[in-house]
Amino acid sequence: MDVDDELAELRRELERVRGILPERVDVDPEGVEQGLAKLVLTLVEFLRQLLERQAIRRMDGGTLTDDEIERVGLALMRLEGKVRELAQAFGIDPDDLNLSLGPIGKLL
Amino acid sequence: MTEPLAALPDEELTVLDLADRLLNRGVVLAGEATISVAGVDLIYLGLNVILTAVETIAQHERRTR
Amino acid sequence: MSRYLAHVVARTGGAPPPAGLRGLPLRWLDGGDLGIWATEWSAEPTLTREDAFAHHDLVGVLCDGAPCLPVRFGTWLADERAARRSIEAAHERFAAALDRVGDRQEVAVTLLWRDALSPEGRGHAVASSGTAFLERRRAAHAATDERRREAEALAARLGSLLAADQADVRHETCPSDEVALSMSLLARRGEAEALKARAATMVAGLSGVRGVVSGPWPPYSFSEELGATGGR
Repeated sequence: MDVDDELAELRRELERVRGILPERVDVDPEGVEQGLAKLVLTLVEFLRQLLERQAIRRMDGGTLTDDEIERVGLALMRLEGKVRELAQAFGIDPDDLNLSLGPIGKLL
Repeated sequence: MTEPLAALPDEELTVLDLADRLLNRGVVLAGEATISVAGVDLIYLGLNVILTAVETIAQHERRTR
Repeated sequence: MSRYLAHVVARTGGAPPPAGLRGLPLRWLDGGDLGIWATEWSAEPTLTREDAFAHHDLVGVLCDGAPCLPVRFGTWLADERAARRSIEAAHERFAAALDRVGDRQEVAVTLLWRDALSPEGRGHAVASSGTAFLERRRAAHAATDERRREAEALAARLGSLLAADQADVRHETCPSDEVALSMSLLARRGEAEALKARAATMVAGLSGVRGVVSGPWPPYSFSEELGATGGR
């Protein structure tokens, strides 16, 4: 599966995640929804960074055309913006999404 | 952005270290046990679901300074 | 309906119990030659920060009295039958761990980066084109990778200098943007303070990071992989 397909898949997952989480969110700092949102967004951001690293490797390796580089870069940039936007909507500091995933990180 | 950790006194960093251990380490009992910290039942699935609980305590620590 | 909040796994025949959390009864849940010390509640509460630290104090008292394995905070059991089944599921591992780890203490060494990562280093880059974005992110990943290599080198150095047996060391590099290294060292009782002092001296001599040495604590970090059959 090439990077475009992977990004499309990730974008779909992100939309699906928005669907699963409640419409009206109680942005209480101790809130359960926020805790779940943070876990989900941390996972999404982790995966986005994995894809980003892969894209960069292929860019450096010369296996992406200039046009592909531009398209993939834009998609990743927009995804990163979307994750930040969702985090802020839940009252989460986007910088807090860069936490180690512990056992999940090793699985991935 | 919250205050950098490196600016906190030793005692507070020690508390954060301890909170990390209390919430993320220790024996995990299989099957019969549920892990419930914030009033939500989270059956242990091999995921680091208590991730957020550590940050809640960390944020509490920083807010009460 | 009673519910039990587990504190430690221990051998049967332990010392007389102190009280449980919030003055509630502390019960021994029997699983044969091993069992679980747990606080008995009449209903399941929302656990607080104070409960977590009270659990820590109680685990400390229990570990001082006999070899014990700390149970993850927030672990609830319905009854003694559930405790027995949990123990039977991992009996050999618990027994082996009690022998190896139960009587020992954990010293924590945490290293924090003195210099903060730039916003770009943390992942946020706004660029005028997709290509520019990828190029800036490449530089950011390179910086993060360099930090991780530095952290791994610190971990290797500290581990080899502070422990004779590397099975007595657990560490995680770069668990977050601010933390370079989170390390746990297993010490015999009576040797923990000396280990702390050695660690503190070593850590004070490091440049680029600020170190904090804590403990001794019950061996939380050396108990974690036990018990879960389908888990890690």
